[in-house]
Amino acid sequence: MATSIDTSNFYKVIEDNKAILYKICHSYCSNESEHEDLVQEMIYHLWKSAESFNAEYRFSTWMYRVALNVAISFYRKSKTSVPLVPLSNLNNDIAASPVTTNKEIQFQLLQQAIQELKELDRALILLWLEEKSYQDISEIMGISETNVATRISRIKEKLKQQLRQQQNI
Amino acid sequence: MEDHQLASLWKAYDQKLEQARLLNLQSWVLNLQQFERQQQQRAQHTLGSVVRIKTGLVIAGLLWVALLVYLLLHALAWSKIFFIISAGAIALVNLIAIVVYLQHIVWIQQIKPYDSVLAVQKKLEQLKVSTLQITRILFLQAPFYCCWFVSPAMIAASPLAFWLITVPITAFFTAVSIWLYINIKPANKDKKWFKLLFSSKEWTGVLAASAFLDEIEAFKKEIVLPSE
Repeated sequence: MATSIDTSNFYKVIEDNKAILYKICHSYCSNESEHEDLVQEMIYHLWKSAESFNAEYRFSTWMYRVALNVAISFYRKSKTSVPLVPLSNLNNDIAASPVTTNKEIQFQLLQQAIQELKELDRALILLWLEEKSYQDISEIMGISETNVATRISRIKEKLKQQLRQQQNI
Repeated sequence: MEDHQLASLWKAYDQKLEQARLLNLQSWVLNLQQFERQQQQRAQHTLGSVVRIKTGLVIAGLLWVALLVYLLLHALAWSKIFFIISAGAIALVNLIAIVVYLQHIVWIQQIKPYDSVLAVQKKLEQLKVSTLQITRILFLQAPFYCCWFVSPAMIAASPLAFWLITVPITAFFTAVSIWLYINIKPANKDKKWFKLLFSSKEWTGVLAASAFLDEIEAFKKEIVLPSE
């Protein structure tokens, strides 16, 4: 089996993709105290899976699959004990700007709306927001491209509607 | 709001992360040596621990079956016919449960985190739900615990006790265990008796898994948009 990720470049792989791992972590784990656990779990599984990484996979597909699978499983394990709370209360580690602009409020509302989606819908919209093509999303999720397109379109409408409602309050 | 506005909001996330300087390596526990050290520790929380538990159950089950077979072989006489039938049936039911546990271990080995999200999540949830499969199989041995001690001599000595107590109790447990075997399945999870039977905390995860499996199946189906 052709292994393309070895110990020497694993560090770089994580470094290059840490932003998406962070975003997935925040989308599936609302409890700040568990963030580090989830990140460690993701990296651990990426590290373990790296040994069996096959060049026939596209790297991003492989990485998103591992990260999302770990995050969804982690979320499902802790879901019963940890209720979701608005992200605005959780994101203390993101430097709070002294001036809260309209765009920042919208951003926080978007994050909150994403956190309220079902776990599979959340994965779809995260991939779309990360500008993955429908084909990539279809490969990562394991559903048809048509299904991806239809579901993303619905989720976007739902998010937009929620953002509009929140802004009107 | 347009699609590009949603995307633009999301792009602001990257800027925020950079501004907050959150993405420094120190906070990401990226020391590879640490990964190696954590490997043992992590294994306790991953599927490895499930494999160990199931392997333990397989060993315990095999020991129990071996004991039953040993006792059965040393009781081959007409006077112990009820014991022979009961021990044989209990051993058989436990053997089936062991085979199912072994099947679970094989499933776990086949779960790869780099497979598609739906495939992996489906396998994980099926694994949880399959606990129900073991439970319904094990219920089948219940009636045999009600009559293993009976002997032809005992029936001859107290026929009334046999026909009025042992037979009705065994018949009742037979009917209940067969009914449970047929009806304990995820499709019945919303029924009142099912909720009552599996109301304890340890079943919460199994029932949630069953609901998530339904969600996965629905997710796989393409949505048909209403035609104009």
